[in-house]
Amino acid sequence: MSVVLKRYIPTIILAALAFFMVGDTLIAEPTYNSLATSGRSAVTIISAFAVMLSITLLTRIHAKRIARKRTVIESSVLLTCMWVTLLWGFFRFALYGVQPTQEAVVQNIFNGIVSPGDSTIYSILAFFIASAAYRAFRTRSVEATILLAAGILVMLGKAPIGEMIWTGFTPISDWIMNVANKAGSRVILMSAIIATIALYIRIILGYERGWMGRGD
Amino acid sequence: MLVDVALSVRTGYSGALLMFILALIIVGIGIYLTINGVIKPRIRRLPGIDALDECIGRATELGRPVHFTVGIGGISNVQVIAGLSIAGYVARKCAELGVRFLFTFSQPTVQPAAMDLIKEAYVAAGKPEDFVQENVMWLSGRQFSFATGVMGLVVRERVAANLILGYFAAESLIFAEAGFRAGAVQIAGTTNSYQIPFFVATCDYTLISEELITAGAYISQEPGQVGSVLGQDYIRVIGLVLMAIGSILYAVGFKTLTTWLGL
Amino acid sequence: MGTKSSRSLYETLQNMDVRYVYLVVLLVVSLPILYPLGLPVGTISKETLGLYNYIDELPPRSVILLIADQSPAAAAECQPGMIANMYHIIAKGHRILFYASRTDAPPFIEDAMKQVLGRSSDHPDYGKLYVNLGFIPQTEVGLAGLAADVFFTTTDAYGNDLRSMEFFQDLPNKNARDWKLAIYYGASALDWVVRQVTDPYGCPTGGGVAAVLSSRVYPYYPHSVIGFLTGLRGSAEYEILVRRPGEAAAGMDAQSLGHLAIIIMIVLGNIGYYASRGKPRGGA
Repeated sequence: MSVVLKRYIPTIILAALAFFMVGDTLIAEPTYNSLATSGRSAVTIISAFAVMLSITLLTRIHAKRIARKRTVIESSVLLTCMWVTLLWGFFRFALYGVQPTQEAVVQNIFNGIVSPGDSTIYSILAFFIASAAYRAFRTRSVEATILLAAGILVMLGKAPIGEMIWTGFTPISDWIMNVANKAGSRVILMSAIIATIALYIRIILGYERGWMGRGD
Repeated sequence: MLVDVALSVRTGYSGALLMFILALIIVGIGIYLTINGVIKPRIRRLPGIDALDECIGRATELGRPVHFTVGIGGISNVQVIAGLSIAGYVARKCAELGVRFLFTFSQPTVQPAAMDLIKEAYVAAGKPEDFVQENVMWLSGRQFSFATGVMGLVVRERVAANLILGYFAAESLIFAEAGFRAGAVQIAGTTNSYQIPFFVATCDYTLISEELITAGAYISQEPGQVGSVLGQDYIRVIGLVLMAIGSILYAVGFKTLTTWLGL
Repeated sequence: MGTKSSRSLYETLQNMDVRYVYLVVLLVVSLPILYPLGLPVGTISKETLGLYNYIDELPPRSVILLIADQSPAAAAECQPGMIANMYHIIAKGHRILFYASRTDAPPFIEDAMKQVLGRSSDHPDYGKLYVNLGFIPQTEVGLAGLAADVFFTTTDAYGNDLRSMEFFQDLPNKNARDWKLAIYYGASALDWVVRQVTDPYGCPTGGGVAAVLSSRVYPYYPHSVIGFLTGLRGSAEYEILVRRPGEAAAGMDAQSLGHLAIIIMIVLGNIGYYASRGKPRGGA
C-alpha cells in the first residue's frame, strides 16, 4: 500500500492533471475551459503557500543560527528584525487596505536595501565577464577562433563606438545575430522542447521519479 | 460532454493537437520497442556525465566536499527535475565514498523532494547515519541573494567539485567564477541557451540543453528512460523531414502542408 | 637578457592578475558616467524600429499589455526602455494594461507611472486609459489565466473592481484577443509570453529585454516578436526616437568603453598566449 501511495497515486494524479490542462489549450468547450481556469486559479493560490513555506524555512534557519551563536549572527538578527516590517505591511494591508507598494516603510526597505543589493551583485557580473573572457577566449582551436572573432564583431557592432571606428561592424554583427545566432538558438530551443516532452512523458509513465524525491 | 469536447478543437490548433497525439504515440513506440528488447538504443557519450565519477573521486582524494545546485527554479521546472535526477546519483556516490555532499536550491518547493531524494541516496548506500540535514541548504528565494550565498559557500568550503545543473539565469557566471576561485572541477548544464556560453567559457564540462534533460536516462540506463530518448530522436527526425519538405513546398507556392498542420 | 624580459612580458600578458582586469573595468565604466564623453548612440537598429513602427501604426485607443518582469538588477537596462515606450504609447493615445509577473516588479510600474504620468492610481485617466493589475503569481500560469479572461484578478493592484472600469467596457472579447501588443520587460525569458499570448490569441509580442536575453529572443523575431529593445543600447535608441534622452543614453559612453576595454584585454591575452607558446624555454 505504501508503494501505491508513494509512487503510483502521485503519478496518476500528475498524469490526469497534465492531460486535463493540455486539453484546455487545445479544446474550446466552455464548461471544460472554465474548469481549467479554476485549476489555474488553484495553482496561483497554492503558490502563495510557497511563500509561507519560505518564511518558515527562513525562520528555522536563522533562529537556529542565533540560538547557537554561530560566527556571524548580525545578519540573522537583522533579517529577523525585518519581520517586523513584513508584519507591519501585512497588518496595514489587512486592517487599512494600504497596498505594499504604497506603504512607505516597505518601499524604503525595498529602495534602500533590496534594490541596491541586487544591483550590486548584478554589477559584479561585469567584472566576472571581463575576467572570464580574458581567461577563456584563447585561439586554441579553429572553433575557439571563430567564437572569439564572432564575439568581438558582435561587441563592436552593438557598442556605439564600434560604428564610429568602422560602419561595417553593424551589418556584420546584425548578420551574426540574425542568421548564425538565430539558427543556433532555434536548434537549442527545439532540442530542449522535444527533450522536455520526452521527460514529461517519462514522468507521467513513472520512469522519472526525482520530482517525488525518489531516486530509483 | 465528452463528445462535445471531442469535436471542439480550438481554431488553428488542429495541427497542435495532431502533433501532441503523434508525440505521445512516437515516444510510446520508442519506450515499447526498448522495453521489449526489439531495439537496444545507446545514448551517445556525454563527457559531462562521464566526468561525474572523476569529480567525486577527486573530492575523495582531496578530502573536500562536492557542491551541487539546481539553481533558481521551482519543482515544476523541467531543468530542476533533470538536475534532481543527477543529484540522486551523485549523492549516492558521495555517500559510498564518504565525501561530504552539499546541496543548495533557491525555491522552497524543491526542499521536500531534495531532502527525500538525498536521504534515500544515503540509505541506499548503506550509510543513513552520514546524512546531515544541514547539508541540504535553502539559501534564499531571491536570485542574487542565492548567488551570493552559493558563492560564499563554495569559496569557504573550498569545494573540490562544483556541479551546476538546473535552471540558471543571470547569476550563472557568479557560480562558475566562485567555483573557479575555489579551484573546483566544474560541470554545468542548463537549457537556457543564453547562459550556456558563460558555462562553456568557465566550466570544465558543459551539458548543453537536452543533454541535461537526457542525463537521467544516461545515468540509469533504464530501458523505459532510454526508450523515451529514442522516441525523442524519432520526433526530431520527423520534424526535420517535415521542415525540409515544408520549406521547399512553401517556397514553390504549395501551402497545403502548412495549412494542414494548422501552423 | 632581452629574450628573458620579453618572455616574461608575454607570460604576464597571458596571465595578468585578475585584479588589474577588475580595475580597468571599474575605471572605463565609472569615469564616463561621471565625466560624459557625449559619444553618439549610432544607427537605430531594426529590432528597435520594429517595435517603434508597430506602436506608431496601431489604431487609436489600442490596448497594450506591459509585462513588468524586471528585478532591481535588470531594471537598469529595462526600466529606461519601459519609460520611453510609455511616453510613446501615451503620446499616441493608446491604452495600457500593466501587470507584474514577479514580486519585485510592482514598484517599477509605480515608478514608471509616476515618472511619465505624474501620478499612478489617482491619475484622472486611471481606469479609463491605464489600469495596473499588480502582481499575478506563477508567471506563465498567471499570464495564461489573464490572457483567457482579462478579469482573472477581479480587482486591480489598488483593490478597485475591474468590471466597473471604463477601460474594459468596449472590449468585445474580454481576453487577449482584444490586445494589440504585449511588451515584456525583464531578463528571464520571452518564450512564455509568446506561448500564452501570441500563439493562442494572435497578439504579437514586443520586448524590452536585458542584452543577455537577446539571443534567446531572435528565434521568435520577426514573426512572433515584432520588435524588441536589446539592453541598454535598445533603451537608448528608443529614448532617441521619442526625443527624451535619459538614463540609457547616458550609459552609452560607459558601454562603449567597457566593450573596447574587454576586447583589448582579450587581444593582449592572445598575443601573450601565442608569443609565449613559440618561445623555447631556458633561453636560445
